[in-house]
Amino acid sequence: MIVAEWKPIPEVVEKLRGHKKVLVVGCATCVAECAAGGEREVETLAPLLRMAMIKDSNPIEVCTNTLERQCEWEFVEGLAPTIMEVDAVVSLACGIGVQALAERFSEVPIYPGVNTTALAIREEPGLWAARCVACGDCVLGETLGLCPIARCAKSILNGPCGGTRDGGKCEIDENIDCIWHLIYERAQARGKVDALLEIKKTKDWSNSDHGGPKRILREDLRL
Amino acid sequence: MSDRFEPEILVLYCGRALADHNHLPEGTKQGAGFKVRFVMMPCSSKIETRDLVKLIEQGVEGVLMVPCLENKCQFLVGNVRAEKRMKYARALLDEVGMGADRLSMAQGWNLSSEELMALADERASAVRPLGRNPLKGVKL
Repeated sequence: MIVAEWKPIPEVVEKLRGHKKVLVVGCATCVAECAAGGEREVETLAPLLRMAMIKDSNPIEVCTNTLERQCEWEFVEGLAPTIMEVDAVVSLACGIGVQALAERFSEVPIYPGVNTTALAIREEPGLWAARCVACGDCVLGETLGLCPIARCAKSILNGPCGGTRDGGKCEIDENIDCIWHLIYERAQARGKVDALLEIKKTKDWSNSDHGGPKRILREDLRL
Repeated sequence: MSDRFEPEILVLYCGRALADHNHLPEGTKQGAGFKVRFVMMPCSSKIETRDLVKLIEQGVEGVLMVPCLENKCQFLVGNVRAEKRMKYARALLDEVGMGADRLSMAQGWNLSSEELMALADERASAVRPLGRNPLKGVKL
């Protein structure tokens, strides 16, 4: 899922100075799963913003809504009647959702309430960890389903580096597994250690964001 | 007529924290220099962060949550969850300048209604220095 975290509330409050009526919009998909931008979080942030603005001697009216998906035009359209009644929006969706609102409702300022941080999995309640960086040239088939691009601090394809700690942890953080240590362990369990000796070629990064803004065109799906 | 500040305290307590359910005070009660309302919860974990924040937004001066003891929860970890939510909500209130101390927690077990009232009294004393809730009476 796409993972996000709340921005510091004072940063959001700063943006709202001068506005009178604000809509806080959540998204019931990824950011709800990571407890950053679903209905619960919308209904938590809204009273906090009201309180902060009153303390700031700049009271505002805050209304709320949570869309099923903020990244789909069909759902975004549902906001049209409400948007006409507010003079700013705080979106708790990922960067895609924020931009979708800003594109559809370009006349209204749309402020992000979260920082979009990763493509991650929930490892356990309250703990999310990155699993993918959308690099555009997946190597999981060669690394036994463990991604060295997202999960190695150096994104190296021929690991491990020399910095692995005792116990198979990464040199940058004792709480992070060295992914090459895990790849080795998995290879050992499958009797595939020899395959790791093969030097992997330089990765093609042209299909990642290094190749400029990404567009995916499927003629079979277009009218 | 005195305009002495009498904080309004809300006590949210786990039903298992009290010894005798038959002697619970109902509705708003007048304490010594404070008003208090008691609300029994089936489990303290029923209260979410948003509820705690909203209670302060609605003008309550102080909230006291009284979960049962840590190893006594009928849902095993309900009171642990409640404690973590309380900690998070306190941090959020601090972030917006409302003061974390408007929210508080005190574990209880086998309490009498008088002991619960005494906890509310303590809460009122802790909240009094914070002054009136600036949201009290504000039309939102």
